[in-house]
Order: sequence, then C-alpha cells, then structure tokens
Amino acid sequence: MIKVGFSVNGKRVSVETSPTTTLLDILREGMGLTGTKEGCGKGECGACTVLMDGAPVVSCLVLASQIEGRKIMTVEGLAADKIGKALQEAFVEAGAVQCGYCIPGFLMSARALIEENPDPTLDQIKEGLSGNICRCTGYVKIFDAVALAARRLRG
Amino acid sequence: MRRIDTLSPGTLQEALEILAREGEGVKVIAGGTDLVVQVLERRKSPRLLLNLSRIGDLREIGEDGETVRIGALVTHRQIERSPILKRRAPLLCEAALLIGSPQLRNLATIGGNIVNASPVADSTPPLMALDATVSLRSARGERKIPLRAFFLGPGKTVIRRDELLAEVSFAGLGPDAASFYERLGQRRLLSISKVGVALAARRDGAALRGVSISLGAVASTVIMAPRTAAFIEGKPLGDEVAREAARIAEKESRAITDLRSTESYRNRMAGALLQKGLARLTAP
Repeated sequence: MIKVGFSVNGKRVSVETSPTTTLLDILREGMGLTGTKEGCGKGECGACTVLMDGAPVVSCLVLASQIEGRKIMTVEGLAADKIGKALQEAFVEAGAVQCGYCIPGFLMSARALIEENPDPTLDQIKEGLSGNICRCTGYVKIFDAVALAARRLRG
Repeated sequence: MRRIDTLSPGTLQEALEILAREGEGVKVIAGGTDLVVQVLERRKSPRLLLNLSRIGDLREIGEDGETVRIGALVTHRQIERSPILKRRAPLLCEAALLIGSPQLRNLATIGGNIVNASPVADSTPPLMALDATVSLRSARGERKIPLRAFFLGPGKTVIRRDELLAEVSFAGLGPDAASFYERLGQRRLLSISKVGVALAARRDGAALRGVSISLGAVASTVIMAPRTAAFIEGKPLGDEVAREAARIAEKESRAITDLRSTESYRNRMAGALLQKGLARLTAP
C-alpha cells in the first residue's frame, strides 16, 4: 500500500491505497464521488474524464502512484466553479442531456475548453469534445450547450 | 487494476539505478495510456512498475541551434501546441493532433509512443522522416541511436533492460522546408492508423531536395521509402510526378492483412496518401 496526497475539488486529501488502483476507483469507491462514470475502462469513451492540474484526462488510466501532489477536479466540483455552473445551466436549457451517463465527462472536457478558449468556434468545440462519446444525443445539442455557456460567460 | 508494486523515483539518476538493480520483470510507466490497458487485458504482467511521473526532468522541448530536443516525458498535447515544433517540425504536430483524444494526449508521452514500438504509432513516421536520434540512458552512460535503427519488430527495440529513453532529437526543418503527415484511420480520432505517410524535404523552386519519406502501419516497423524519395528528388512537383511517386510507394509498402485493413488496400492507400500530401504541398 502507498499513501498519496492530492487535492480533489480544492480539498486536500490523503489516501492509502494500492499503487495501481486507478484514479477512477479512488474517486468512486474510495471517496464516494460517483459523479465520474466508468464507460469502456480503457481510455476511449471519455465518461471518466476529470481535470488533472486543469487538463482533461481519462481517470480510468491514471494510477494512484501518478497523482501525488496533483489537483483533481471532478463533476462534483463544477457547481462551485463559475464556468462549471454556466455549463450545467446551459446543458439543462439546451436539452443536451438524454440518458446522462456521458455528461459528467462532457462537462469536464467543456470546462477545460472554455477556460483555455473563452470564445470557441464550432470546430474548436468539436475538437475539445472529441474524446467523449455520446450514444444518445447526436452531439448537436451538446455543442449548442457549450456555445451557449461560453457566450454567457463572455457577458 | 491488480496490485503491482511500484517504485516512484524523484530523479532520472534514481530511476536508472533502479533499472540497473532490478533486472527482469520491470516495466517503465510514463503516461500509462498503453501500459495500463495492456495490463488490464493481461497482455503484460510486470512484477514491478517504475513510475516516472515524479521526475521533473525530460519534460521540455528545446532548440539548440539546428537541433531540436524533445524530452521523453513530453506529452503529445505539449507537442501539438509547441511553438518550436510548429516551426521546426510541423509534421510532428500534425501527427500529435491525430493521436487518441485530448484526454489521452494530456497523459501519453513521446517517449512512451516510441518505446512501445508499435508499427502503427503516429509520432514515429514524422520522427523517422526527420532522421531523429534517440538518447538511451543507463547507469553505465548514454547511447545515441538513429531512430531508423531503433525498431526490431512490433514491441521490439534495441533498448536494453537497464536503459531509459531520455530524449529524441533531430535537425529541425528550416523556413524553406516542405513536410506533411497524412494518415488514414477508421475515424479521425480515437482510431488506430491503417496507413500513415510522412515526408520531409527542402524546397528548391518547384522541386524538393533532401526528400525523406516514411511509411507507418505497412510493415512490422515503421519503414523508410527510399525509392519513392529518390524518384521525387529534384523533380518539379505536379500531378504527373505525384501519380508516379504514388505507384512506387505502393510497391515499397509491405502491408499485411489484419483486423483493421487488408494488404492491397493499405498498399494502395500508402500511394494515395502520398499523392494527397504532395498535392497539399503544391496547393496555392
């Protein structure tokens, strides 16, 4: 077992775990943060996307030994975040959610995108969300929601 | 994931000492995007993981006169955005943008992509076209090996058990350069390449000089296409030259049939992608 110290949604935590436990399992099973979903479990679907030091990563492929000192943000941290909150509201308004399983991952990718590029074009939105798969919506309303949130945040 | 003992050194020197000491059954983990999946699918079962995530070095892209150096722990995300590489190796930036997804590119490293030695790796054809050199470090010292002599087969390289790939370097392209990376996958992203073609050269009027072409996913390693390059060398570019070059590239391609594509399709597409890339170079 190893002890890793990192932060989740602004709070410092210390966890004792096997070095090869995935960040996804630490969040969901160790900390009860079940907003982050497991989809394919091999880094391809994006359902488990979280931000690590601000950059979107697939938490199913990140191991406990790799997160020492890192800042993790999950979907549970979005409500207290300006961009995150705007995205959540825009997703509801645009009707961007159907079954909802992929949405936490989309929100995290969109959060990283808007922070880096407050005025993204449609192509840039598509690029920013290219690592997330949705089997319900056909993506159009998700793109609309991200554009709407970005527009509102620009004021 | 099943529990595997892990050592997490803070410096490169410590990592090299661990490799020298530990012997068999150690796997180095950098970004982990290939290795974690291989372990999950039980295709690899290391006894010990050597985790490089706490090493501060090897994370920079630098320029030193002609030479461009990329540390082994540089991520593909850094590569796709690097102002130095956009100027000195734009074909490598093009390739990085086609790898995985943003979430994978934030984790996956250039060193991992090289050492993994997949014949379909997208960063390798550009680096081979640039005639890159890899620096292999061990507690005993350093070896520099041309990337073109580094790969032995799928997953097999000349790297020794106690060595780490520390850096990849090459002579950066100048302002008169022409280059591209073209590839074909099932989709644009999150797909494994069926064929990839990289070209690097200098412009000389309407012609190219110093042409170097590599082909990915059409042999057991990424290969060079010297006959195609020699044909293009010095000829004014145009439809006719591109068509004939494509025919030669099809013959230099040595594809096999597997679950992703067939031999004949891959060989034809090696030519077609070359033609497409050459058309890009002559576009107004």
